[in-house]
Amino acid sequence: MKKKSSLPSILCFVLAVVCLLVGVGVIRFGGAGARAFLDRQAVAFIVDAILLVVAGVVFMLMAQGKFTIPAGIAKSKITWAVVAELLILLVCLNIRIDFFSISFQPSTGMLYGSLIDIVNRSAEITIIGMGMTLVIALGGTDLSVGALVAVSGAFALKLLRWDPSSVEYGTPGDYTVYPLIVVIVVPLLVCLLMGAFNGVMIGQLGLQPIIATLILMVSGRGVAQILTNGKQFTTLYSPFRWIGQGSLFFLPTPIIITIVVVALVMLFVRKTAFGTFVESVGINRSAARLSGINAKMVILIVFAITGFLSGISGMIYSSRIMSNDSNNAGLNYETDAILAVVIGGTSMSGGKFSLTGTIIGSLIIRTIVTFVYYFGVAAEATMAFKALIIAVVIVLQSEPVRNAMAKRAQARAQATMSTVKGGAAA
Amino acid sequence: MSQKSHGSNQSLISRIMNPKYIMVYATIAIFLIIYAFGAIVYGDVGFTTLRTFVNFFTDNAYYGISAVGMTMVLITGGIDLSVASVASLTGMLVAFGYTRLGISPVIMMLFSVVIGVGLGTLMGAAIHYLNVPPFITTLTGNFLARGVCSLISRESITIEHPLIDKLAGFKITLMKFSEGEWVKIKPVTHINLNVLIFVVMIIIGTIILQHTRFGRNVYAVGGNEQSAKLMGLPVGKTKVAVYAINGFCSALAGIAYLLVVKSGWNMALQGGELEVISCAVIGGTLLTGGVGYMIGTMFGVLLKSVIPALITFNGHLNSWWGKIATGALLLLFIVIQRAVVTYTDKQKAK
Repeated sequence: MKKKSSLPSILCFVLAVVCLLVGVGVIRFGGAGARAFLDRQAVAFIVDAILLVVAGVVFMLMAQGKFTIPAGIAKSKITWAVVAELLILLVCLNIRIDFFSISFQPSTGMLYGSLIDIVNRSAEITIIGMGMTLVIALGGTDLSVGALVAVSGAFALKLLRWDPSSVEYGTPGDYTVYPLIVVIVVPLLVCLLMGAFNGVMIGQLGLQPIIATLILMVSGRGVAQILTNGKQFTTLYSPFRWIGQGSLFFLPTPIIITIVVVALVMLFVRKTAFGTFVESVGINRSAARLSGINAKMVILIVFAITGFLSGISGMIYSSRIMSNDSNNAGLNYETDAILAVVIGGTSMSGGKFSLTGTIIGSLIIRTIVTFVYYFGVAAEATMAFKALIIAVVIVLQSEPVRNAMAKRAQARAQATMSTVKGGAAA
Repeated sequence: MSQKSHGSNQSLISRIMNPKYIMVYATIAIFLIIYAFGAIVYGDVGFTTLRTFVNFFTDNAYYGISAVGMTMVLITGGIDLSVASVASLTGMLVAFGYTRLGISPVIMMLFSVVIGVGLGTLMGAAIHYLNVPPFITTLTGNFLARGVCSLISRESITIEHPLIDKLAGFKITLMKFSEGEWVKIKPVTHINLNVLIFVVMIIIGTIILQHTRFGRNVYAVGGNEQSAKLMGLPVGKTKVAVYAINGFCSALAGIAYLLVVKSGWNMALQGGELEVISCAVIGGTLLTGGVGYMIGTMFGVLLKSVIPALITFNGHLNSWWGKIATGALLLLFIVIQRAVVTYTDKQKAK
C-alpha cells in the first residue's frame, strides 16, 4: 500500500533529474533546431525540475500520511481556477520562455511584456466581471454589458467631437468640445441609468434577468448608432488617450483603474453588509425580504453598479482604439464576463460569490487569448481553445465530479491513517 | 378530451379562452395590428400583396427552423446558445467538404447533421448528468463550434454544385384559378424550399409537443423537474433528447442558410442565437419553462420579419431603428407575459 501510492513521487523525482540534466546542458538530443530550442529553454527545464521535486515531496508525504490536502482547498472551486491558470502559464513557459520576459520602455515610462499585456487587456472583463459577479450571485445574468460598452464609447466620442454649431471640429485632432470631466462623467451616468433600468425591470417588475437585459442588449447598439448617427468618430485628444494607453506607476493605466475598481467594489461588498444582502437575496428572495432586506433595492443597486462598470470598461475600450465602434465595441463581453465569473467559482444558481475568483477567471480567459495570439494562431480560432479549457475547468468544477474527488481524497486519507496506525500498533 | 365529450358549447369556449393561450393570442394580435398598420400606410406600394406576406416567411426561415428546436429547449427550462454557431459550422462543413475536399454535399450534409445531433446530445448530457448550467454548457458549445469553424477556414468559401443550386432554386409558384384556368398570382409569388422546411418543422414540432408522450414529458420537466422525477418520468432522457433535437434543428437551419448564401463563412449568423431565442420569447414561450407553443414561435418569427419590412417600405429610417424596435417589442411582450402570469397566479390563489 505504502510503496504503491508513492509511485507518483518516484516518477516525479526521476523526471526532475531528467529535466535538470536537460536544463544544465548535460543531455542534448535531436538536430540543430532542437538543440537551439533546448538551449533557449534551459531555465524552463530547471523550473520544471524544481516544481517536480516539490510535487514529488508532496506525493511522498501524502503517501506516508503525514500530509493531506485540506478538504477546504480540495473542494474549493477557486483552487481549480488557480491550477488551470498556472498550468496554462507553465505550458507557455515550456514552449517559449520569452513569453515571460518583461522590459521597461523609458520613453513611455511603462513596463512591457506578455504578462503585463495579459493583465492590461483583461481590464475590461475584470471590471465588468466585478458587477457580473454580484448579478450572478443574485441568481441572474446581465446580457446588456457589451451593448453598454458600445453606448459609453459612442457617448464619449460624441462629447469629444460633436458641436452642432461649429464646423471647425470636422477633423480629428488634439482637442475636446466638452471638458474631459464631462466626457467621462456623462457616459458613465448614462450607463448607470441604463443599468438601473435593468434593475427596475428585474426588481420592481419581477422580470427574468436574461430576457430583461436582452432588451438593452438588442436595442443598446441601436442607441449607440443613433447617438453618433451611424458614424465612427476618431479623436486624438491626449488626456483621453491616457485612459487606455497611458501609464501610471510604470504600469498601463487600465491596470491601475482595474485595481482601484476592484478595491472599491471589494470594500463596498465585504466591509458593509451589502455582500451578505446580495447573497441572501440570491439564495432565497422571499426569505431575504421577510428578514427585512429590501430585495428590490439590492437588485436595483447591483444592476446599476454593473451598468456603471460597463461604462468604465467602454471608456477604456474606446480610449484604446481612440474611436467609437458601435458594432464591435464590447462584442461578446457579456459571455466573457459570465465565463470569468463561472470559472472563478461563483455558481450560476446564485448565492455565494467570489470576487477574487472572477479576477482569476478573467485572467485565465485573457491568458488563453494572449497565448494563442502569441503563437500565431488565427484570432477567431482562440474560441476553440477557450472552449476546450473552459470545458475542462467546468467539468472539474461540476458538483458530481467535485463530490466524487472529495470522497476519494477522504477515503484515501482514512486508508493511510489506518495503515499507519496499524503499523504502529504492530 | 373529457371536456369535449361533455359536448357543451361553453367548454369549447373556455378551452379556447384558456389563459395559457393568452400569450399566443397576444403575439398573433400584435402581428395583425402591425400588419394592418403597414397595410394602411404602405398598402398602395405593395405591402398587402401575397408576395410580401410570403417574404415574411422567406426572410427568416432559417431562424424559424432553429426556433422550433429552441422552443422545446426553452419549455424544458433550459437555453441553447450554440445554435447559430452550429448552423454556421454546418454551412462551413458542406462548403469546405465539397469545394476543397471534393466530397458530395449530400454526405457532408448528413455528416453535419450527425455533428449537430452529437454536440446537442453531449451538451444535454453535461447539463443533466454533470449538473452544469445550460447557459454555460451551451456557451462552451458555441465557442467550440465557432472555433472549429474558424480552424477549418477563416475565409468565406463559396459552393457551386448542381444539387445546391437545384435545392436553392426549388420553388412552388402560387397559382390561382380564374376564368377556367390556372394563372400565376401577380406579382409572382414563390414558396421556396426553406419556407417549406420551416412550415413542416413547425407542424412536426406541434405534433410532437401536443400529441406525443415525449411532448408531455417536455412540458412536465419544464413545469417542475423535481415533480417530474418523482412521477417517474424519464427526466434525463427527455432533457438530452431535447438538446439533441435542437442540434438537429440547428444543422437543418445551417443547411437552409447555406441555400440562401451558397457559401460557408466562419462568422456567419453571429448573434443569431439571441435572434432565435427572442423569436421564441416573443411567441410566448416562458424562459422559466413549462409554457410555450410552436404556433406562437411561428408568429414570433413573422413579427421579426415584419418590422424590417416596415422600415424597408418606409425608406427613410435607418436600419438600426430595427434593433430598437425589436428591443421595444421584446419589452412589450415580457411586460404582457408578466401581467398574464401575475393574473393567473391570482386567479389560482382565489
